[in-house]
Amino acid sequence: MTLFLQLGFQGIALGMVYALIALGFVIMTKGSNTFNFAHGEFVAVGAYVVLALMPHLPYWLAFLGSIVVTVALALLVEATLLRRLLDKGLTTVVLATLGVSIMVHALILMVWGVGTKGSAGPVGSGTVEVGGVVLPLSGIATIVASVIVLAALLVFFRRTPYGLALRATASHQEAALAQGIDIGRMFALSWAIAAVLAVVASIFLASFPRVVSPSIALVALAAIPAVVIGGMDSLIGAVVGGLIVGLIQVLGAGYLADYGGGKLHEVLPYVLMLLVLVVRPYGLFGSRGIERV
Amino acid sequence: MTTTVSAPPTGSAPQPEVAPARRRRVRAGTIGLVAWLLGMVLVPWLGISDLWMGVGIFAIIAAVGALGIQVIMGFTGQISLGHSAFMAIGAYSSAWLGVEQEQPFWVWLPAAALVAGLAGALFAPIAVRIRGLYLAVGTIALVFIGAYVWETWTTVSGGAGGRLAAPVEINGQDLLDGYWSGGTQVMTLFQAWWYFAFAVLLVVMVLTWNIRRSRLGRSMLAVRDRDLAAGVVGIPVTQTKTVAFAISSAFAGVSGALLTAYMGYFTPGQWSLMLSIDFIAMVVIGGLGTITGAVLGAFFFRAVPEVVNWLSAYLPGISQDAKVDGGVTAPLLSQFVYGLLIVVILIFEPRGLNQLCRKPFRWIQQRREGAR
Amino acid sequence: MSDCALAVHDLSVRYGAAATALDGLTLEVPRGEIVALLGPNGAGKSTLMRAVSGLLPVHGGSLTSGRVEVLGTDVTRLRPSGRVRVGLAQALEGRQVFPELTVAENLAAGGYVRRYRKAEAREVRERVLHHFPRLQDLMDRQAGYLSGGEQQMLAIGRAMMSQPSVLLLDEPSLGLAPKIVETVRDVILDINREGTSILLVEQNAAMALSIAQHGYILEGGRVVREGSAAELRADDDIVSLYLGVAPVEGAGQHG
Ligand SMILES: Nc1ncnc2c1ncn2[C@@H]1O[C@H](COP(=O)(O)OP(=O)(O)O)[C@@H](O)[C@H]1O
Ligand SMILES: [Mg+2]
Repeated sequence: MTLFLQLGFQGIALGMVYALIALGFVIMTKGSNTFNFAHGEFVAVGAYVVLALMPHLPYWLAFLGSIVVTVALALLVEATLLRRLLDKGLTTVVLATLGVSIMVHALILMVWGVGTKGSAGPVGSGTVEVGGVVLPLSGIATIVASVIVLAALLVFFRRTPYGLALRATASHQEAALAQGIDIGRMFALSWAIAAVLAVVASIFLASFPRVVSPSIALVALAAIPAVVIGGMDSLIGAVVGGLIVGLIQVLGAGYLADYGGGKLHEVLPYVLMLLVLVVRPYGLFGSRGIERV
Repeated sequence: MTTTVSAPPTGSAPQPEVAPARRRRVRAGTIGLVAWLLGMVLVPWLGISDLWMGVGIFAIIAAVGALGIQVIMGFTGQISLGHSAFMAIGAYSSAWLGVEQEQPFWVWLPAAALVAGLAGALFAPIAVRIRGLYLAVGTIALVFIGAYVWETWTTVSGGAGGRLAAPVEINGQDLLDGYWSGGTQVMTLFQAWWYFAFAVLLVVMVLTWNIRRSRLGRSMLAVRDRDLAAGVVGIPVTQTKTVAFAISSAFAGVSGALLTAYMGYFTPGQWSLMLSIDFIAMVVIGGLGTITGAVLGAFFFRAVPEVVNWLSAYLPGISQDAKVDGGVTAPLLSQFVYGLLIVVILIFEPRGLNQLCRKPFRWIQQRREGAR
Repeated sequence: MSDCALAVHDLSVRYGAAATALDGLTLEVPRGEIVALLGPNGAGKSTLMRAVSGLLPVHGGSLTSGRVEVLGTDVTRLRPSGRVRVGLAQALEGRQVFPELTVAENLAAGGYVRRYRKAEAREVRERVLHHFPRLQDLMDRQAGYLSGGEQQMLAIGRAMMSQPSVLLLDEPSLGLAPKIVETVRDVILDINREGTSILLVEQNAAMALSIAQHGYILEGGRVVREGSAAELRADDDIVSLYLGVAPVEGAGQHG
């Protein structure tokens, strides 16, 4: 039971990280009709920049600095590339973001090398014990921070004019334009929000015991099954999907280590994703309309 | 924007005198084809270095897989990022037949097509249910599930260390040793493999050409252009997509089998998402929906990394191997240029190299017509 | 010209490489008036609306000539948002509410460009809802679940939230029961009485000419007839062509 609670806790922590990344995917997809395959690399950039700034600045400034850099990168990609290709069809957009992903990955390796670095999390390796269950501080920080970010996001979407304008844009682009909502600015805004979420996710994805390494973008891609399971245009779906994937991975690693070569937990989210698609081709919470993207 | 891949415009701009213009275009096409065939036959004797011959062989093999992607994406309008998984299936089934069962290539090569094609047909029921973005993203699962299977199923894959590939033996000679006759080498390994791969490519090209012109091909285009509406006008959408997936996967299987046979040895790690992306880049950048586009794209994207590698020797500040702590290295630079080229070509000529290459010819033709 | 609420001068529009959809169109909406724009399907009415509000690019259309002025300001080069800020609002053809958003949110989106403060927003909303008492009880309902008539009210109400000087209405009676068309007509009249100038696109010529001061008749992208509403009502040709209940099928379909 203790093991289960411990694993469950860590699964939720990891799941929240995936939820943040998945939300980024969903917000971009809803806000600007694109699926940004380079989002995993945005997460990697976030982690590397925090790590690079940490020795020179207080942690929170390093974090803010990383947000500035990553948001700038996202806006650059969105403005120079995506906006021009939007009406060129799905294949073009998909391939373009894959191209960007390749470029950013190469740049990261040029700047920081192929080696493994330290952790980039806000808290160290401490633990606390609650009723016999040992909880890592990094996990607690992850959950607390993610919940705060989710709440802020909720307030943003429900209570602010920009949030409303984003939702209106996602709902009906031409009608949004007719209300005087600047669609281009909304595209940029959705990419910027996704980039902020990527940085938040990145510091927890690189929290103890995990570290910053070139494969972090690939780890971030595990949010893709979360996106599909939840439904590509559903914010709630992204959170639920993220939690499912996080729990599967951690519980799977704990309980299925003796089966299937001990790596079953890595592949289970993808299997589940296919199963969900068979039963519900638009994910658990998605709507049909998204296929037009 | 629609689910389907937008139809690439075919042919040149409408012209007033249709019949003569068309004849001229056909003639130009035939001349181009003959010239290309002749060139491909002659290349091994032009004294090209082994390095570039190798690149060429990789390109020919990639073109086979690219034609598979052309069938599913270019003709049928379904994005699949799972191509590398089907290549792997072709590779492992051919290696098992060719090595463990000691079958000749004319058994294992068609078998690779068959097994991969069947796998594609098995996946099709899922694929036909999902559309657009969901399909593009969903097919990623195949790559990751495949990677897991290859790494875990060590009796077939040899585990992370890899395994031997099926040999291509003609008259009892392994082509990887070149081709010998009476104690003298008639062809080097590169010359022999060039012809072997080229022969397979020709077969696949002819198959693709026939598919494109058949009733099936027309159904595929109808599915691509109208998807939902196609069902209304009596085109069996599900069946067409299923067949397209099977054919596409079969070509992928052949490409995977050839690729590993040429390399002689292969590991589970090489069937990555990046490999799938490669093939999508080839057909989109080459030109969606055309055979020429697929072949052009394959040669382009196999050549680019080598060209950058070769150029980087002349650029200052670029080291030749990977470094733990950063720095611009030749492989990284070629990776970056690869991504950059995709992006730049998409921005400036979204219809691909096929159209780009035709521009000068069209310009010349227009000038000639103007002069007359 | 500057005494006009809306002035359109020599406007020509193409969609892609297709034939011209509007061909040198000139039209004025004097301040405080309702101007009716009539014509068969495909005449170019919606195209004119898009050209005025800046939505042509969404449909792959572009201006090849002409000028649009709102309250004397040349808005031809402005984006849609700029035009709304100047005082233009449009209710699109076919209602086009935000289906996933609530009625209240739809209205709030209509006031987006004005950046109202909370109290201000409430006040404007009260004033708008005054015309649409029916919406009062539906504020928290998702707009996608409203009836056609309610959605049309919402679309007009949403457009009014930016407190426009010029309101463009594209076939507000489309697909509504005769009784509801009556209500819509009264609302339009009410809004106009409070000072908003209106360009009313209709196929229901009887309804439009009963409240407009002036009318234009469009066919194949050109104005083929113009006159005071009374004149147009009295014209036998117009009556037989456009005042019938059903629009004349296929007339003026010039591509
Ligand atoms: N998005 C579009 N692309 C191409 N042609 C269009 C488009 N929208 C309208 N048209 C053409 O422009 C002409 C005018 O259409 P429209 O303005 O919608 O007419 P109306 O609103 O009077 O029915 C028609 O011939 C129509 O076919
Ligand atoms: Mg219309």
